[in-house]
Amino acid sequence: VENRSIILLVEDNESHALLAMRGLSQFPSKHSIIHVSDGEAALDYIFRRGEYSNPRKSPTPNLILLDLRLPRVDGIDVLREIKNSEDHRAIPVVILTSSMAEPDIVRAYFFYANSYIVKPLDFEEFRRQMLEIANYWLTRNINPL
Amino acid sequence: MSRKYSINSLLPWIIPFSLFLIFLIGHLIMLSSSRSLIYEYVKNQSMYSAREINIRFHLLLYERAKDLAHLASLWSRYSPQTASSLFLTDAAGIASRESTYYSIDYIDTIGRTLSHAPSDVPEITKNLDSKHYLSCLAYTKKPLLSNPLRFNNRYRIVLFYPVFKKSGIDSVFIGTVAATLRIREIIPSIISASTPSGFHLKLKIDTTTVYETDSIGTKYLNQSTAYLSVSDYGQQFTITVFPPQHGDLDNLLAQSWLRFLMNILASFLAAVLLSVTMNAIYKSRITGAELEKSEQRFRRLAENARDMIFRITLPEGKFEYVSPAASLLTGYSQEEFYSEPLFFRKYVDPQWHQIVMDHFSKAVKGDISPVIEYRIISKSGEIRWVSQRNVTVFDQNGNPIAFEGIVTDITDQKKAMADRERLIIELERKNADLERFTYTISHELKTPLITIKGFLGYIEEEAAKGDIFQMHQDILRIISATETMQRLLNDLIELSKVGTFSRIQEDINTVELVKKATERFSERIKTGNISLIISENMPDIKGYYRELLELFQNLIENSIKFMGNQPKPEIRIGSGVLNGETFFFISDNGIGIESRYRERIFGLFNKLSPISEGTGVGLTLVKRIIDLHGGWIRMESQGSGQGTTFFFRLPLSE
Repeated sequence: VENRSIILLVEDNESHALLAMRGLSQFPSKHSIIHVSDGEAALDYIFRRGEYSNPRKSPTPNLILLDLRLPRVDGIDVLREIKNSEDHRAIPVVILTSSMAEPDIVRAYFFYANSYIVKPLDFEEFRRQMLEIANYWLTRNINPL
Repeated sequence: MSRKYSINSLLPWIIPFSLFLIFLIGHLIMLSSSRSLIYEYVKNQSMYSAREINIRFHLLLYERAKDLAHLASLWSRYSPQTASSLFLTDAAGIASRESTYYSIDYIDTIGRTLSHAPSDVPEITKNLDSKHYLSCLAYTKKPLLSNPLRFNNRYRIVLFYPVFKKSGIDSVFIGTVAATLRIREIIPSIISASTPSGFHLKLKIDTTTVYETDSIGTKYLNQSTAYLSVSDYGQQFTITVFPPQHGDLDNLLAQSWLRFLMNILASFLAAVLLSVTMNAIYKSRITGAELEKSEQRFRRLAENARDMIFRITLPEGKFEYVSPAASLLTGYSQEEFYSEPLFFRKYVDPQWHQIVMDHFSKAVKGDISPVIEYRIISKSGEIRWVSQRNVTVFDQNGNPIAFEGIVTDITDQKKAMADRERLIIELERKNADLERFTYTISHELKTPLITIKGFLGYIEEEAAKGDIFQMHQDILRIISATETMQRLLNDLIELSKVGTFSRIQEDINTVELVKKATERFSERIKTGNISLIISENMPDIKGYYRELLELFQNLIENSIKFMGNQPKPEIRIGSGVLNGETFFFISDNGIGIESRYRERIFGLFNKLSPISEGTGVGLTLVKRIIDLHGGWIRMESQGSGQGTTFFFRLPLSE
């Protein structure tokens, strides 16, 4: 019964995923990052389907970092599925994307995204921002999970 | 209606009144001539009267001269003594018998009065210049009248009769018998009994008016006055007869005036009547002609109009008139339209029957909508949209008796409107596509940039720490990101080129095209041990060569990319015919695609696998090239591991 935070990182771009994980590695609290690279895998994990059906191996995440443009199932559809589910809608979903397109922002909030963060170009800022996100959602923010 | 005042329109006034004018002038001439006739008639009457007076006066003088001739013979036959005594007795007898005599004298050549009878009256001849008359008598040897003498307020006149005595063969003038006559006694016997009453007489001898009828307060007609001047007995007699301006003459004149006035009045009324009649005829002729003209005009318009013009009676709903355009529109002849009531039910689309009949029942109440639109089916089965404009016709009591209108074919309009709506929707979609495209591109370009900058940051730290291995890893990532970026840019350029450069459509041998497309992948096909089966029976296509080459290259590349771990990789390219339509296909036995991604795969930058090396542009490019050629593309796969087939259609060369 570890008191570890679970971060689900949904990111198709491997380099970006690596950048995000490196950023989060400096987050002091105990946490583990689970990375999936497409929308379908993300949903399978959250809803414990297929290879993720064992709850021990795939604990419910405390934070989901979700990219929008994903193979197979788009990020926005992943978001919609999560927020449609009464069991999972309390999980904070932070949209982490490089898109600043207004329709994306509007649609994200329409489907109850908790936050919308644009990946910064600058390396330092990227790293700082990842820490801020983790800090805020995992330490400051309180949720019923 | 404005009408010019032409001569024609004035004729109904001009003709009767000029006739009247001619009539009036004729009557005036007749009136004046009748008046002058009357004057002439009266003048003649006066003249007759004057002549009669003259004749009677001469007769009287002749009678008296005969008396005097007897007395004169006494003096010429007998001795003066005998003659004198005989003369006195005879003269006294004559004078007593005839009242016109005042006295009778015998005067010798030197003017001495030798005898005078009757002796009881004064001897007026003494007042005469007898020597003058005696010399005249000696010369003319004819009886002679003296100038009138005024005596005791009465006019007397003296008639001389010359006396000659024979001596040998010569006659010697010895004296004259002079009879003094009473004018007052002469007048009654010479005034003609036929002289009309009221006529005025004036008798002048020499310059003396010896008689004049009383004429106080009487007007005379000067035009008809008769003058008669006669010279006889050495004297000038003037007789003037004045007709009075009243009596019969007056009646005649008044009658001619009355007749004139009545004729004028009658002809004036006739002229008015005539002009009114002529005007009425003229107007009716004009309105008739105009009515006919406007009717003709309307008919010509209606007959030539491209829209159907109609009139339907109410409440029966029978066509009273349809223009020829009706048969062009509906395919039914004009006669068929007239054949039965509510004929429009024949050609109105059954789906619209109820609506049109509702409109008709409103029309019966005189309350039809001014414009209605509905669908018809022509005799040949063609569906058309029409717009009908209506006007209700009411009788004098305000009851609707018919409605008239125009039916316009708006099929093309409707079609154009539908086309326009479709175009707008398409345009909106394209606009949205374009917007998404822009966002997507910026997003996709940003992605490798973030990678590059991010790992550059770490490389700096790793260099400081001397972690060569990690540095190398990160550098590889940066290189990969730049390569991705380059590919992305190349693909985008390809995508934007579609339909922009090669504008010439050409006939292309499909088999050759496909073989050319595979050339690029010959290395990969060889190393992957892929068997490529290309049908030799594909029909030729017509299109843009460069784009079509690109199309096949992308599809082939797609198949190679997603071959997976297939032990016997195989790609087939060929064509087939389904429902008369030729299609092409490229199928592989690779990893396959779940059918739910059937549409997503064609979206820009959409990838089904995060590990695939592609940019997600390939199939978008394929779709765009297919769209450019007006074809379609469909993906079919039995699911993961079942291989993939793309079916697509391209225009064939003729």
